Amino acid sequence: MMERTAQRELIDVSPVGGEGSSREADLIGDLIIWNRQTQLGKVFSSQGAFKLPFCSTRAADAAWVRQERWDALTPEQRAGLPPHLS
Amino acid sequence: MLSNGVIKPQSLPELRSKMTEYMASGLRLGWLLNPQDQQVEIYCTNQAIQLVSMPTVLSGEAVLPGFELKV
Repeated sequence: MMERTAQRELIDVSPVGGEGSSREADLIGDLIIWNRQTQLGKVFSSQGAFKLPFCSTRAADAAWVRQERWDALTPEQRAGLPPHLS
Repeated sequence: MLSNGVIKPQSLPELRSKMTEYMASGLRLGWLLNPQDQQVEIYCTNQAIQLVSMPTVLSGEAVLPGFELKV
């Protein structure tokens, strides 16, 4: 998994070993359970990258975006790298 | 970080810089988990970065209302 900084450098953010990966899965799981109950937004895994305003492309281990922010994106933006985080 | 073809894992300063970038991009709440030092850094809009020791329960506050994460 690669990211691009605002200075256009490529960074390898390849994941960690078993313990870190398991921790990440637990976190996403908790977020998903909460999000299914509240229906407030969308959950993204560590494979989801976001285009940030400073021309960088970044990924988080887990991310969540408010539904209204997601709905405001065009289908093309949703299919590609969504801009911004919420 | 790619440096002369060698791949290095991201350091804590690099991760903190990334969190700052997220906040500047409009992120309202972010958690940087540092299990090696048993600490969590809480990044929240209009607030100073909070350093909390693990284990703890993180609150989603107003951003993720009702969400709690045990770390």
